[in-house]
Amino acid sequence: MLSAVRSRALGQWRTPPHLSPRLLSSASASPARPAELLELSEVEKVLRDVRAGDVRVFPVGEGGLHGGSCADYMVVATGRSDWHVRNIAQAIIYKIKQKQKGSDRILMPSVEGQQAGKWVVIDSGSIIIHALEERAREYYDLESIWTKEVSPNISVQELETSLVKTRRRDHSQKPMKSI
Amino acid sequence: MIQPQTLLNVADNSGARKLMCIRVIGTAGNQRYARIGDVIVAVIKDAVPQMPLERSEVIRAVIVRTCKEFKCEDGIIIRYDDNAAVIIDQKGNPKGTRVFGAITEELRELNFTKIVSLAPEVL
Repeated sequence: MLSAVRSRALGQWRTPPHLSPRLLSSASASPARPAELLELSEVEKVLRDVRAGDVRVFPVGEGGLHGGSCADYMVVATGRSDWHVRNIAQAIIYKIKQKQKGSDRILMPSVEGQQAGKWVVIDSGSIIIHALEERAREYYDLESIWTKEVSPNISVQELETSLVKTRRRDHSQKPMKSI
Repeated sequence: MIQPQTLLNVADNSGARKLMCIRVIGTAGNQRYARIGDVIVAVIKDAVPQMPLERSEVIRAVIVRTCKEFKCEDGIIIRYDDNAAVIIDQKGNPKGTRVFGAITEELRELNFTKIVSLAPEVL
């Protein structure tokens, strides 16, 4: 039942139809995106407060990674140990709870890998926060995926220019018929 | 529809090439078939040499692609050409560092965000 509730909550966080190519076919208008769980600046502030090392933000939204169907921003932070990684995750969850305090229902993000502590992912809709231990960060090397994926923007531009319709020039030597 | 004895491809760079399902880990009771997002226990049938994973090792894997069509909540039906899985450990961390091929967005709702973030393409 818990998972059902979670999936429903996440369902609301789906990207709006103009971003996601998958939702283009379903014309039923989904409402505008609800207020975000956390702003990017708030996430950065929390990460600074818990002394997470080497924080990097990757814009993976429109035209970037996965064609924008996943999320807008990926935030990667490094923790010194398993405990530190878990504490980073706890701090962000606490911040989300604090922010929604007075409201009648609280939306919680889905957290993954809380027990293991090597790699904790907090999926708060448009921002996905990855907290990794030092060695895990080296091993998975997440930066190279996202920096590489964002760079093909140039090729997309080239594609657009090549798709522009140009009228073919008439090379035939025939004189134009007068009407 | 993955059941014991099904052979699967591996969709990551962990070093295994072929898996054979030996058990479907279900949520309740004995689940007969596994679909996208289910965890299975599998044996490595074929592996790349000089890699940490070896033949006849028992591992856990998440199914990411199935030949059997998969119905999404928004009415879209997805069907792949092959059965493929990603190898994970007991705690849910992927063994490889990259995932190949297209991955459905539903895996994110099933708490496999790590696999989705490693994938090159999300449907």
